[in-house]
Amino acid sequence: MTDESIMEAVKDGNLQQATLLFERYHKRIFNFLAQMTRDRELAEDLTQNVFLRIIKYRQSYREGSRFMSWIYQVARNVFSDHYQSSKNKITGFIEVEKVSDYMADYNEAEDIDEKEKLLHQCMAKLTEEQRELLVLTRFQHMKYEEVAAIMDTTVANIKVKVHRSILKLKEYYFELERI
Amino acid sequence: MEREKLESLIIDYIDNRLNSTDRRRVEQELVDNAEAYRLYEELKEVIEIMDGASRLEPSEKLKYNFEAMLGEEVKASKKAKTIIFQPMFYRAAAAVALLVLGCGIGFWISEKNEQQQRLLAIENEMKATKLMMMSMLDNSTSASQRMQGVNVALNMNKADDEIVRALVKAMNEDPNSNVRLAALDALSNFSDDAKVRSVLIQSLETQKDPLVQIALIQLMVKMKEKAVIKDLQKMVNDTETMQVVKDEAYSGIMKLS
Amino acid sequence: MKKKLTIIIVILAFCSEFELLAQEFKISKNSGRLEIHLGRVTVEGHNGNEIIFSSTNNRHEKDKRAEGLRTVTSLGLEDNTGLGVNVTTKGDVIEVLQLKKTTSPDIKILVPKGVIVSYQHESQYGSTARFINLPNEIEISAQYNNVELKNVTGPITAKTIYGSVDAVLESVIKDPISIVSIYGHVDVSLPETTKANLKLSTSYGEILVAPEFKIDIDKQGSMVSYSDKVSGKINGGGLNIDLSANYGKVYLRRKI
Repeated sequence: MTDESIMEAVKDGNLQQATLLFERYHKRIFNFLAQMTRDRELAEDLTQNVFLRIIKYRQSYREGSRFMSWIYQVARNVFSDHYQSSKNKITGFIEVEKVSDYMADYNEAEDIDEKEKLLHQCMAKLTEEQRELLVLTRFQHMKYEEVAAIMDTTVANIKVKVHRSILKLKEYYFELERI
Repeated sequence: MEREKLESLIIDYIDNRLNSTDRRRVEQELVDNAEAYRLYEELKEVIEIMDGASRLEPSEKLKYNFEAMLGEEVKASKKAKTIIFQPMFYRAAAAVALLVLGCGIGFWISEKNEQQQRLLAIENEMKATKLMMMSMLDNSTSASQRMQGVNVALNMNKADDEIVRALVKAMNEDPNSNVRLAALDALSNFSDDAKVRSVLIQSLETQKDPLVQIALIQLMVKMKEKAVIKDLQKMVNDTETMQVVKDEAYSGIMKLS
Repeated sequence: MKKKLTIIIVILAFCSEFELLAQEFKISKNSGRLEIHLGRVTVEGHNGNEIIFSSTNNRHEKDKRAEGLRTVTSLGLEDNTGLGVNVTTKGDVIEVLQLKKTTSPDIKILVPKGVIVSYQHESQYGSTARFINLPNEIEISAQYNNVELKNVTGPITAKTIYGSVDAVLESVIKDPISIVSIYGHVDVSLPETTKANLKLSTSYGEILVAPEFKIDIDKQGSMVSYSDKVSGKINGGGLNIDLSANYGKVYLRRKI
């Protein structure tokens, strides 16, 4: 069954089917939010929120549109709503303490190699938009077309921005590596 | 070539997105230009780490909360339906009537209510657990997820029809023997129930997995289920049955008769 | 000068020979399912993003007559890897098949951590399937093979009918762990501090447990058991671990 036909069933009142969508998407959405917030616990709460919205606002899902684009749009909204409503905005988005916890998660994981840990540190230095683009296109292996659909812009625009983000990340990465 | 253009081409080159002309251009540049080659190496390293980065696993809590939330929403959507179709007037009237009635007997039933609420809470929790179990059993790519689903049932002390049906399906149809075996184990906890008993007996006839066949025969012996002797006889005579299973069936016949 | 030339030629020849030995086949993939249908195999975890197949047979001789020809087999499979196995990708599933029914090639497969490793083999022609350093989910369904699991974390579901299973688990374990053999033994080493709900069972064998594991036996059900079955918690309970050997013995050791 496609995501779209499942979502249509949910829209028709068969809410139970949402479990399938949760199965298919919760890890991706959680990882997306974890990298955006760099706070594990918060990411879990926000993921829960995404699925709550999917169910509550099921009527707003347009039949025929791609479910994946929609759920990521919802996730982006949940993310930005969270920071609009909280004071964190002033402090540059990220709570320092939580980030160190989050990094600790990575650092404790022995199977993650040093280079990857370093890269995660550098991700924090990017702007929110750059981080988002890299998470979607590289970490989550989405196509430029898919990301363009989510962000409602052109493929060419996405490509340029992704390239710039990669270059920026590379710069930070080799700066840190030299230390 | 100007730097920005080169950078962009190299990234596309690493991503394997170039046509053959551009590819050759980049390759030529990499050979001629040491700086370009260093850029390529650095970009490649960063891109490879990103593409192969490990994923974080959410905790089980996320799933549990989702199931609970879904349960609430399902309930709410049912309630909403019945109210929406009532005209405003009736709704208001009903509310007033409820209020009056409520004040009158509210005090009287408050104690009872509390008890009921507690029961409701337990029921809700049961429902959430059940949902969690069902969705895990549905996971077709991961046998261990299905296994965990079955393990949830192991800790239940009561099973309703839906759970029993799901377990029977797992026992008879799951592609993984370990999952089938675990489902049988979970079902055997409820073997006091006549319905469960009968599905177990039925499964003996149709079961093709030798591991489960053996475990079923042993369970039948435990349950002293003499009615299956005929089935066991059939298994012994069936050329399709594995030798191990035949041995077990034979020993089962001896113990039961 | 002539001498130099010969040396160079010898080195070149050696290099090409070496390349032949170190032949590899790679697929870029770090998620999905890898389904292995080989009589024997060694599967190892690695940190890359590719599934890498290589031959471990050093006496791989080159058949001059075969040059320019391709192998055709009764199973209708093509050797598309150059290693004597056929690898096909179907969506999220990668299938690995051997070309001949009776002889399995010596293959080692390196697997990234996100891939589910599934091993299935029914035929009696085969030997040991080894799984080493894998933080992956593993599913094993065999009839005759012996199974070796070393430094694995689970989740594991494994069954073999005639073979035995030997497993050494890592200190961080993901459940469920379910290992079943009918005729062989099941030998598992666990870290002493593992918190688990254990179920150990045998019909005609024995259950042997290291004294370091103090099992709180669950008391439930009133039925008398004909087979030997121990179910209880160690270190307060937690992960689900089921081990069973019908005719063989179940060994539970402390991992040193």
